[in-house]
Amino acid sequence: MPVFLLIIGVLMMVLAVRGNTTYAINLVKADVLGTNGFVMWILAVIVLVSLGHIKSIRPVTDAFLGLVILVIIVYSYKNNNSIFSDFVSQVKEGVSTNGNCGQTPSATITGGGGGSSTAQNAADIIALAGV
Amino acid sequence: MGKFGETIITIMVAIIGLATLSVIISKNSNTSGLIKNIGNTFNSLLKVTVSPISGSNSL
Repeated sequence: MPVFLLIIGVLMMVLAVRGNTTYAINLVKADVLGTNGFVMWILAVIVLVSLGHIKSIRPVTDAFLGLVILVIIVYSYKNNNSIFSDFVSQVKEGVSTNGNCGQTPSATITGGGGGSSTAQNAADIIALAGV
Repeated sequence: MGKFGETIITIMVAIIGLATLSVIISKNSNTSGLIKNIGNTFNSLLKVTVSPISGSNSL
């Protein structure tokens, strides 16, 4: 968790220095609150993890959590016929063009709609940061 | 929690396990395609990672 927070912190600092903060915020907002956004899934996971602190029903919440994660993955694959295709294409683009350092961001905000879109937006944010 | 409560919990876990199994083996889930896709993704990332050495830009 500390490492994850450190990565987020570095990402935010780089975004602030490069002046892409508003764009990154819009990307995240569209992913979480947009059409078919992840807010309901996030709420479900938070509730399940919270209930998991009750020791006696821990096995039930664990099983539910596993089912939720499985459904998220299967649902994402069913909708996009791929899970990480956008992420991989962004990575390929980054390698083949040496990133877009110093350029105006050209990615469009897709408005959520599944894991693949999230992966693309995450890759967009990383590309914007020029990491 | 008494013996009855533990029995209820066990039954609930079994039902959720059954639901998980049905999601995995369901034709609608296309789990085989999903596993294949995960393998392809891993393969692509591996190719991207070694591309500076291998020199393959087609990826």
